[in-house]
Amino acid sequence: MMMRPGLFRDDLPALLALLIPVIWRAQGDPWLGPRLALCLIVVFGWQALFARLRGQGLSLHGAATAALVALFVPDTAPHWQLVIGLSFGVVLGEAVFGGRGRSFVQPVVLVLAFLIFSFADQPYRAGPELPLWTALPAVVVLIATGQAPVGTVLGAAAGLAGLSWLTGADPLAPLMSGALVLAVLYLTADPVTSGATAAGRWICGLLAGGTAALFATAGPAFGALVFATLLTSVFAPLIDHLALAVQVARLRRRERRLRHG
Amino acid sequence: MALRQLSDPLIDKNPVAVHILGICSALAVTTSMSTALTMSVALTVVVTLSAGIISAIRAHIPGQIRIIVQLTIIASLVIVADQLLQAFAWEMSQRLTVFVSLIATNCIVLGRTEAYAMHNPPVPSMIDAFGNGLGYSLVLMVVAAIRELLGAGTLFGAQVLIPQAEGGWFVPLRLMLLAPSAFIILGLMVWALHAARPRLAEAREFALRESEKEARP
Repeated sequence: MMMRPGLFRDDLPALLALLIPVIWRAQGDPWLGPRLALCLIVVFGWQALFARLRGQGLSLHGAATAALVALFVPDTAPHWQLVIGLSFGVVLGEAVFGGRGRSFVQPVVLVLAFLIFSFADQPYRAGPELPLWTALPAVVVLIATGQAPVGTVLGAAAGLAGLSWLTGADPLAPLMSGALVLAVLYLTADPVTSGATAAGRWICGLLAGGTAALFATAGPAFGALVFATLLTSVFAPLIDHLALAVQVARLRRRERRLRHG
Repeated sequence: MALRQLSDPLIDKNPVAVHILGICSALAVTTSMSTALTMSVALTVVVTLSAGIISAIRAHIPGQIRIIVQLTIIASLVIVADQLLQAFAWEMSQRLTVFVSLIATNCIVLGRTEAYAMHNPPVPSMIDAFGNGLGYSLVLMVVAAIRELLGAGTLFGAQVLIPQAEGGWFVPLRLMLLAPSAFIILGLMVWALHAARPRLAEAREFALRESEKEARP
């Protein structure tokens, strides 16, 4: 099975940036290695199956999906729950739509939302505790390679800080947590699901950050961000549509003015 | 002929899975099989009787007000069904809340009376309506069976899988008792149906580019 192009530009940097938080967490959690291996097997199993059915190539970005899930779930999570959640998220969130780039939800978001909804006995909402510095390489790499649109990231940060301040929480607290920064970069600012127009990306980021800060008043911030991202990705096509309509109307007006002016 | 009228709406012309009608109630009452069965029986009875009555007087219904006349007949039958349920199965009617009364607005009922019963004699109309009621019931029962089994480990209220809390191995999937799961199950059913009967699938709105030539700048 052939590999798709874009390995060095798209897939590897995102993976390498995840290496540091994974290594940091592996020190306090001996089960992270087996969990990561299991996640990789499940994700690549489904992706290989669908790639074969559709005659497509296999890409490496599934490794990032697996690593993110392994990183974000609590260390007490039973492995069979992860298998069900991953199968659900990867198949229904990505594979049935035709693979990476054609879906409208981030598969990791769907996996986490499924686990949070289905299994209340595990603290999936809490998210891991990662220091901020473990997420800093990801900030640099993802923004430099264009995999996390700057507009969405800044919009989400502004939305989180702004609405946290309005609700009376500490506005900088969400930006000081490594897990939240990673979630914003990899999940909220996923280039596929966070809007395709420049204005749409800003609005998506603001919407995700703002709703996350609101949801966080009733629960852990990590779970709040997951649901806010899920909600935003549903609205992203509509936001893009509106942004395009505004842009087209502005160009038409300008054209008319130039012609008659 | 009559047999085809009965069997077609079960799979090939299923009102829920193919025509995507009556989704609202189909998803709302499928958390347990007993509510789904009650709802199925109520809808099948209402659609069959209303098709028969409307077909019998179809030559006397003025074309311009036919929808109002149809709705009056359907709504009367729905009220009768609702009252009977409240009289003889009070607890079940409480669990079904408004959804029995909402049969009056169910697209399957109005669709069959408007599309078929208005143009055909009573007996074929009733067979057609009964078939569509059975098609609706089939989807409801399948969705409800999946949701109740995985969400609570029971079927018709009888414990099939013993949950972990009571010493068994089964962990209930809470998602199955929430509304999104009904959409997901129905979507998977439509997917499976389209995979099995490719001519039911709609044409693509947007053609995908060949995967070999994926453009990556």
